Amino acid sequence: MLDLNRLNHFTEIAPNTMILELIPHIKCLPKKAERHQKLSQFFRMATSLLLPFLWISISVNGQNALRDIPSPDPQDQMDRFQVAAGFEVNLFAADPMVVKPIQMNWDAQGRLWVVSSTIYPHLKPGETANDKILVLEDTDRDGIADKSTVFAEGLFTPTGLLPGDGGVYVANSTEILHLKDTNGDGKADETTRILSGFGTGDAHHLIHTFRWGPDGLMYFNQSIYIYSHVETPYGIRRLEGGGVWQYNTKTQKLEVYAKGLINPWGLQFDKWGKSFLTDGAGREGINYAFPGATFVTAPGAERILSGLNPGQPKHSGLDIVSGSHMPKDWSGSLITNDFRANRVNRFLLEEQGSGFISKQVDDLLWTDHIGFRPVDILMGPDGAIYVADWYNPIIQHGEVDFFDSRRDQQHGRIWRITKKDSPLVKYPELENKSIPELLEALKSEENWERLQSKLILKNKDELNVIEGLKEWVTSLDPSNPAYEHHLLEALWVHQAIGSVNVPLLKKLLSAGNSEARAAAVRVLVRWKENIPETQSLLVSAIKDSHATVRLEAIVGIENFRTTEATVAALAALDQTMDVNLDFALWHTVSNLSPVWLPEVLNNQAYFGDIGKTVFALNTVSDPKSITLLAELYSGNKIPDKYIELVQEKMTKYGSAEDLTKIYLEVVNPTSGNADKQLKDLEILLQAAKGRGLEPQNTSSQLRTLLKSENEALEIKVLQLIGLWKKADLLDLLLQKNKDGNEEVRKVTMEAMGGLDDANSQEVLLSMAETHENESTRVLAISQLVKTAPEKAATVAISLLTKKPTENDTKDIFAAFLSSNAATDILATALSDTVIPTEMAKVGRKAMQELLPWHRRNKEGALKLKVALEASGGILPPERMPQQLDNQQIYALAQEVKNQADPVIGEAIYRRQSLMCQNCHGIGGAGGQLGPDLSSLGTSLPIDNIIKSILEPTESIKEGFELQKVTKNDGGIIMGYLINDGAREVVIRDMAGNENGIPKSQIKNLEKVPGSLMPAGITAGLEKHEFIDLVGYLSKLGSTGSFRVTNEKLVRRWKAAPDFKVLAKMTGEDKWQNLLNKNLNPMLKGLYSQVAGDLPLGDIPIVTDNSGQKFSLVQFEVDILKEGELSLKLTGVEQAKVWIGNKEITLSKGIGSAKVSVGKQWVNIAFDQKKAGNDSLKVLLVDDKSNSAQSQLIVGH
Amino acid sequence: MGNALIENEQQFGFLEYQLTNYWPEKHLTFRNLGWSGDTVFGEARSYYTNPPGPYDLLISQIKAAEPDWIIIGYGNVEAQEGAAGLSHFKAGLNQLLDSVKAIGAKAILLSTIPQAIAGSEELMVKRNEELLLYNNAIAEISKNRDLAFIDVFNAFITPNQTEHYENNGVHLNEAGYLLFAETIMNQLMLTTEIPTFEIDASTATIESNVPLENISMTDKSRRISFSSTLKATSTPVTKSQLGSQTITVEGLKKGNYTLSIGGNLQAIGSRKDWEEGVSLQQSPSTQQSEQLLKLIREKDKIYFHQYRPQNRTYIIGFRSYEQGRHKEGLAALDALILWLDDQINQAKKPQTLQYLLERLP
Repeated sequence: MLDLNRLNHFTEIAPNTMILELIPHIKCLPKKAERHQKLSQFFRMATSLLLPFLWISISVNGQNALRDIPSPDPQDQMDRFQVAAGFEVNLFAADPMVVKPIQMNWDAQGRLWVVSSTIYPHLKPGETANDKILVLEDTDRDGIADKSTVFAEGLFTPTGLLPGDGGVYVANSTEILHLKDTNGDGKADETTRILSGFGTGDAHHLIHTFRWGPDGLMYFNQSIYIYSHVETPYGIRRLEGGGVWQYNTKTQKLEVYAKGLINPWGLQFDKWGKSFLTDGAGREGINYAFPGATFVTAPGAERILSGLNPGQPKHSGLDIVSGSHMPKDWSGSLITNDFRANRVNRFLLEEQGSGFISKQVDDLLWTDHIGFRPVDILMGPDGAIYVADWYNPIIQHGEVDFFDSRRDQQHGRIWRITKKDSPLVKYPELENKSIPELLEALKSEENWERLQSKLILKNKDELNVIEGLKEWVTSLDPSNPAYEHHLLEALWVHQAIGSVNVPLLKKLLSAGNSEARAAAVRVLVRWKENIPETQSLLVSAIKDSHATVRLEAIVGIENFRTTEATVAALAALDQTMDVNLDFALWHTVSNLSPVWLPEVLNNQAYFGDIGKTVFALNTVSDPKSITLLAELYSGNKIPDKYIELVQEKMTKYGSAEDLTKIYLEVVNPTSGNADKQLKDLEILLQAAKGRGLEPQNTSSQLRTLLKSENEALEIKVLQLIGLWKKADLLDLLLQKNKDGNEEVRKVTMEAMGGLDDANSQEVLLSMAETHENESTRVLAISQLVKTAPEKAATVAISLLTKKPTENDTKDIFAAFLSSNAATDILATALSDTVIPTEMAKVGRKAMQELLPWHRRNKEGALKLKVALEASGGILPPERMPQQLDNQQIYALAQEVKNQADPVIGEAIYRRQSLMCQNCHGIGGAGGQLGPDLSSLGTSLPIDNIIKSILEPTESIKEGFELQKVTKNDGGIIMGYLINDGAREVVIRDMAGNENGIPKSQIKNLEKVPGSLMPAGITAGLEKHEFIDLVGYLSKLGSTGSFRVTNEKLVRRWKAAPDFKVLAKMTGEDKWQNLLNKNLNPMLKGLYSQVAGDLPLGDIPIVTDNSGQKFSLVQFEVDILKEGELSLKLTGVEQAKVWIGNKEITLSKGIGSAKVSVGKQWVNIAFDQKKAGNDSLKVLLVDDKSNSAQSQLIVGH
Repeated sequence: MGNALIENEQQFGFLEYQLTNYWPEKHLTFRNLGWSGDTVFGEARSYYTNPPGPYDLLISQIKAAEPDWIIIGYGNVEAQEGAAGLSHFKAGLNQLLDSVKAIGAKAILLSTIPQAIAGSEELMVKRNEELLLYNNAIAEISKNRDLAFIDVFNAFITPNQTEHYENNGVHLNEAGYLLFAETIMNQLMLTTEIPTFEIDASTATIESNVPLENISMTDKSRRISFSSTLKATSTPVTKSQLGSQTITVEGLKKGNYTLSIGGNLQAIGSRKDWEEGVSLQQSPSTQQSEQLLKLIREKDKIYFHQYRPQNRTYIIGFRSYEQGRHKEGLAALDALILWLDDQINQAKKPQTLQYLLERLP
């Protein structure tokens, strides 16, 4: 089938596009000097070849041009919109007036500026970009745009714009331009380059989201793949990866305001200047940003902050509701777009400490029309909400081909949402107002009006504005509740025009309103060069009664590289700390370390407070500071709250001398704390494992320690014997091996393997050959694999011929599959031997389960496969074919559309054997190794879903790039990068564990293509099952029971698999006695279905010691603010529910309890026989009765 | 190769224009490897994907360009580290020059340019002192290695310094890059003068700084004609330069005279006008210059798209398994670039033009 749009496109740009088709000829061009002569001939020839080449290109692309693309008729979209009760939506503008809007901003005249790119996502070779700036006007103010002007064209993938300073700032790939219309014809005729050097690594990450701050500064963002290096009058400014820039258009000063996030597409300021970010590829909803705030993925970041809504959708755009047209109780709430699920979300914020609690409430707008892609959102001058709809069925940037013909390149819309029966805001005609009138407009409750007035004032005559401000401030009524906000607006005008006003600033620094004080501190820091007493003003602010003021002051005082600044900053510890304060203080103290560290090393009591000393020492990794910490630690002087941090520090950075101090404390404990002794042993163990370190003069005391009756301690000591290679203690190991229980036996054998000397190897070998216990023989073989793999292979084969149990067989293979070399040796040994067919089959299965993808095609693995197959180890043929071409995938996608049963598909998805939930979450609950799938169906076409299951390495989401860490010792760790800090790299390994690896131990860190998702995972499914599975996945996100709603439904569970653990934990025999007991999380993890139900069939039935049957499930909730927590339970009756150790009573499934801050486990015990339903569902009730603020813990 | 000083030059192309024209008989190609914020360590070439590291990328980009000569313009960014960073810079520059040598290219080193605006007067003084310090280091290294060193710094110390800079006082504007190119050409002693023709009709002689042929004068200087072969470089390339090419004619009889060049009417003036000198605005050779500059800028722009492609992550970066097929699209730009190289080298061929001064009847 021919795609006519493509044809038109090709004919328009034919002379250049042909180059693409001529590549094969170019490749054989001669090099350099001769090249130019041949080229002229070549080009003459090329013209005549144009037509045939074009034809081929079209027919190839034609196969791609298919499937259900919704009708682009705006009316069709309109009909399918669902709007929150009391609101209505109308079309403000559509193509051709607006095409492919990427970002929008209002100007002071109430015109809507839109940046539009039709070449996005990628310029075709030789094509010339002609992207545009459009200006939309609603001249008769009826809520529908009636005029569209092309202000500028010829731009190259512009991704942001901001009207101001007499023109418009535009992001143009590597640069920011300021375009001006000097002759009033509505078209730009003057171009000034403002900044340049921004990265281009990814067209959907290019600098974007331009906004004015209330301080008159320009802010804009960039995303993860953008590495920028900008030369400015103040020096070079670099930002690698995501973050927020701050630019003063008057002084040309450019700074990095915040760092990190994956694709921060939303940025907005509240009326007090607090800033918030949303992330188009993140997973934590609203992010609260203050200067220096650092989030996930920032390269080199030592510490990062989290978003306020873990597990929430990804968002684009952000605004804060204000003004008289909107409901009163909506004011201050955040609106942002869930562009994947075709929705507009709303969040309510509540201040807490120095930050916020954010709660998602009902959506403002939603649709099942997959073309609706809201990318930007703004309150307009009439008080309505405007949504820029990029309009595109395809939003995948990298996963779908750049030139895929389903990508829409011609449509676009701006929607307008108004409240029914509420008067619109009268347009204030700001451009004609005098300075006093503009100042008066700063009292407006419309954010838009205040901001635009300020921007006009910024460009008025400075002296006149200062004069006007003086009079205006004097005329303000101090009894007005908004008085201090008005003062702050005046201060911001001073900041915007660049005129320092110390008296006004000081007035606000001592304002009654904490928000005003905090905002004033931020202005003070900007003016530090002009205000000599800045440091002492900040010192006082750090003692402020309100956390938010302290936060700004801690951030600001970092600019003063003095010990006074450090001492003052640490005074923050005298008051309540929280996450943000801890983050900021940590950074400030760490950055000031060159100033204070020498003092503290010289005099431990320098800060006069052990808590402050330890906090400060913890922020650095200087060997001397570590030694001081080790000294304090082994002297039991560390305050409790820092113990864990210090232990971690010792594990990662303690030197052999430092560890010796800890070792001496273990063998001669002065504290008598058995728990600490275990922790200390764990430090020694980890230091030995990770860094090969051993304290000095160990050995003899280990014998003494082994006399202990404590099994946990005994195990650790045995492990240390192996790690430290204490061959002289082999006798002890043998003794314990004989006497100990199963676990002890295993540990002693591992330790023997570690000793790696002739004696112990001989012992292991003889155990492997002749031990009466088969599992001991397997353990011995596993150890021998590490040191003497050839011998191990011989013994293993002889054991395999005796047909060991399936588990033992699997363990044998697992041992050899742990390294390439061992795999190879086993393969060689097996190549001339036959083992029983059953064993060979187990081996093949083990290979499939255990071999990571990157080793599957190594020589050893291939050889082993051949050898096992020779012994009959042939796996049943795959049922669902895994090698499909594009045609077959398309055909399959049609079957999915017509036949799939998503309900059956969900059950297949939940099968343990498929392991989907181990790696993927839904609504944030589930594994974290792969992307959350909550809105997969609304963001990825069916054929791409099929492709990504069959060939996982072909499409990988940002943030899920596989990393390979090569350690100095040659060890390799594969996994996902959680954080690449200055001192350590955190990797999430295949098991989902996070490992911090100090940089000093890393030789190389590189991103490698590939996915942790194994290919062929669905090979065991029947085709109809595969179809149902894809059917389910393709429904995810659409309206109905496959959508993750905003309700707080429990999605992540733990369940008791048997009674053993419960009995051991509580010492109780009967399940009824478990009530009101504090139960640690149980072993079995479960996840709810998309609709929130947990099928009872998935919950184990446990029998207590008296033979009674019951089920126990748990979920975890983080209480952010104390109060009453209510929950509603459906599906099971007569359930017993207790939070922590307090039972609550249920009435009609609803119950509540008073809870205090912190993480809590909620336990539910019930009898499945008495269940009224076939599933269980728990909802945290978010209404007036629920005064506690809580967050369900999601994840793995 | 260098920082934004080099990168931004591609917007104007004056240096390439001057150099390529100096040898109109040679086929020359130029590639701009500048990168905003870059240092001798290739720092600005940092990227999410690693390897290649930034320095390795720089070296591979040099190699890919297959250069015979490299003009290196580093130091403006490094100098911000002041005296403390000097030895680090020297080591880096030496390392880079070793690499360049190993590639088989000859280096020409440029000095930094002064900074014209820096937030405060104090900072500006400091910055310029540091820049001089780094210039000395570059000069010293050039001397030790027997390499050409071109000091462009002083050329930008002028009374109206900012007229050569963009608003930020860091980057050069059009006038700045013209001065930059001229300074380099002068120091390389590759200067080409703008042609002047001084005709004395009474003696039938023409004085010129370019070779002339076929001089003829008929009917008592009613009609003077001659031919001259001009290099494209010898004609003005910016608005401000226009008018600097003049023809003066003395000893004419009273009356009005027209000048045609290559058959096209170029200027009309009275005897007095010609005595004072008539400046030539648009001429066949200025048109040739404009065309040449247009081609150079177009070529540089396309090369920039290839050299710093958008969506690098998906095309040649670690996500190339997704969009790697567009690598061919990037490679295809070679064809356009090579074609433009060819056009440039064609367009720079000197034209022989006939000048004809005729008295109006």
